[in-house]
Amino acid sequence: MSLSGSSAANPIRAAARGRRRWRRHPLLSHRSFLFGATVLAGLAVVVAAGPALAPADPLAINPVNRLQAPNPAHWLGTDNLGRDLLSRLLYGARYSIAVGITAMVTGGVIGGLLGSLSGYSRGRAGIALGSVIDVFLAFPLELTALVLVSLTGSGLGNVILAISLAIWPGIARIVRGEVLRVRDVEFVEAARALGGRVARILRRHILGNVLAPLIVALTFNVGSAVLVEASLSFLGLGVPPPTPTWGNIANDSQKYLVVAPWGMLFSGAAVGLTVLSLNLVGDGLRDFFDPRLRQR
Amino acid sequence: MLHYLVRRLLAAVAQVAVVLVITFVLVRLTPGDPVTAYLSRVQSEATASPAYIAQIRRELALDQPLPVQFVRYIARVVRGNLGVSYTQSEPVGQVIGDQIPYTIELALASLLIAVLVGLPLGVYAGIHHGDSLDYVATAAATVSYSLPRFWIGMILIVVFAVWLRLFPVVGVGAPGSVLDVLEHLALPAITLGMAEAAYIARMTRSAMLEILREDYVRTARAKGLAERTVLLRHTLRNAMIPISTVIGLTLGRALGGSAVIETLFGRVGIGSLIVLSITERDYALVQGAVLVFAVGVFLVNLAVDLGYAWLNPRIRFT
Repeated sequence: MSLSGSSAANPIRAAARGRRRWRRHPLLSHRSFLFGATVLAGLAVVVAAGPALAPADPLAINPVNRLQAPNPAHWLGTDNLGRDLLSRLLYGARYSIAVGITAMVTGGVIGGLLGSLSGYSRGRAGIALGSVIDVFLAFPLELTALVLVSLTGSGLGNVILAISLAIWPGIARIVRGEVLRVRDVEFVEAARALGGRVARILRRHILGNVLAPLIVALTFNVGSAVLVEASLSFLGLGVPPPTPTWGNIANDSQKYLVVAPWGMLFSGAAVGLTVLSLNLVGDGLRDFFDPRLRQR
Repeated sequence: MLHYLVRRLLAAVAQVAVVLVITFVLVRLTPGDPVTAYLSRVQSEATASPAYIAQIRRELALDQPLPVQFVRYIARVVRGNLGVSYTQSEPVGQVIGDQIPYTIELALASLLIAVLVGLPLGVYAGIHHGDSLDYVATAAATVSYSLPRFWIGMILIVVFAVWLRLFPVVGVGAPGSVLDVLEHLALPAITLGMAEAAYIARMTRSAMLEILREDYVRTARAKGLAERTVLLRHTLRNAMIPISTVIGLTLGRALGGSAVIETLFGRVGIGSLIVLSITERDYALVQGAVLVFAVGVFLVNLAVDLGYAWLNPRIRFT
């Protein structure tokens, strides 16, 4: 009666307690997480409202305005075809984030499934699947994506597919390790003894224990996917021009690096800031999910 | 240790076998007919008679069933024959052999920079955990790790090659001149090494923090050892076990990053060769370069694992 009764009787005190609890949330006192999350929130606004924010058509060529330095008419300057760089960067955010998230989801599904199967299966099947994961893991991410793009050809869908197929082994290894850790715990053995099917045991009893490291890995992998997409486009093997991806903007500005470095500067900074924010959010989530790391 | 060694070597052989399957499938998955692609390079496809096309198909063993093609491919690779590059008009093995030293040179130089910068930074941040310099070092490492390598490279080119004119931009330098080679190597190696230094610093800091919390470190302090001895003999020495693995993996990552860096700085090497062969659709070269590259990365990983076993008594004495 006394505690609940007093809270109900005193809504101001209850609200204050709620605010204190909110303020005490470990993630909200994690400065790097807060920084990363704030930047990502801003980026989400840019992605959602890109066309409304862009001052010009990102594909509109205007040779008269080519290679202009930042000025009141073109806040971030123009490229070699006179296209407004701010507009191209704002639209570019959509492509980069779309590639990052879609590749993360696809790679996460493939890696999650194969990782959990290889971790859960006993005997030769588990070992064989684990070895396959190890083999793919040995290939550097950028190189794998590069080779896969050579097979599939350039284009948004193909780039996403190539990056997804490049990032799944890393995710699979983490999931595999976590499943190996959990699969012999008593509650999983009990579910097995009760005759539970593999898919059900994985879904109901193991997934929940794997979720935290998986979320952290997926966050880092969005950043990796954004970086790889930018590198592929920079090499001319990613999304074909004139699509304004950040990598394409850097590639376009490469030849004019000395006379007009702003295209390279701003596009690289956009990639760097996005990846940095994702890494900081990943760091924060990792610290949050692993209590041993909270003190560091 | 012997058991571990044998098991690890067998795993490496299995990995190479899987890579052979992948590189074989790689070319078979490419859209279009390889003979048509080959003819479109060497002569007008329209002028090639069906008999000539059939002859090439026979010569390339493309008229055989896939399992037969695979066995012949393996037999060819085992003999060191990786095919002929039609863009370079030379055996693939020779093209790769000519260019691989430049990639190894770049990877080793970047690794050296990464270790020289990342290791002290990580050790310092780990020991002085929580102070302002730890935050600066950790923040610098996180930022550096997040930046695209091509962007770091372009900024270095503008500042050190264009504005200050300290280093050349393109090429690998004259083979006989050590100074010229080093001048050409500096900017690409720094570009590649910076991101890796950040990775090593992060991992070293983490390993130091982990070891500093161990009971034996507390015991060492409790029995009155000097802090320097505690840090050098008990902490850093044990932290070096995971750090050595990270350093080894860095070499593999540096090899992977060579494609962008070699292309950006106009250097020859396996990375730029793969990019060139992809844009030119020279699949024999892609296949050969990927195979050699993968075997190289596996060898590095094998050396890392064996080094880890040698450094770690828990594996060495089992």
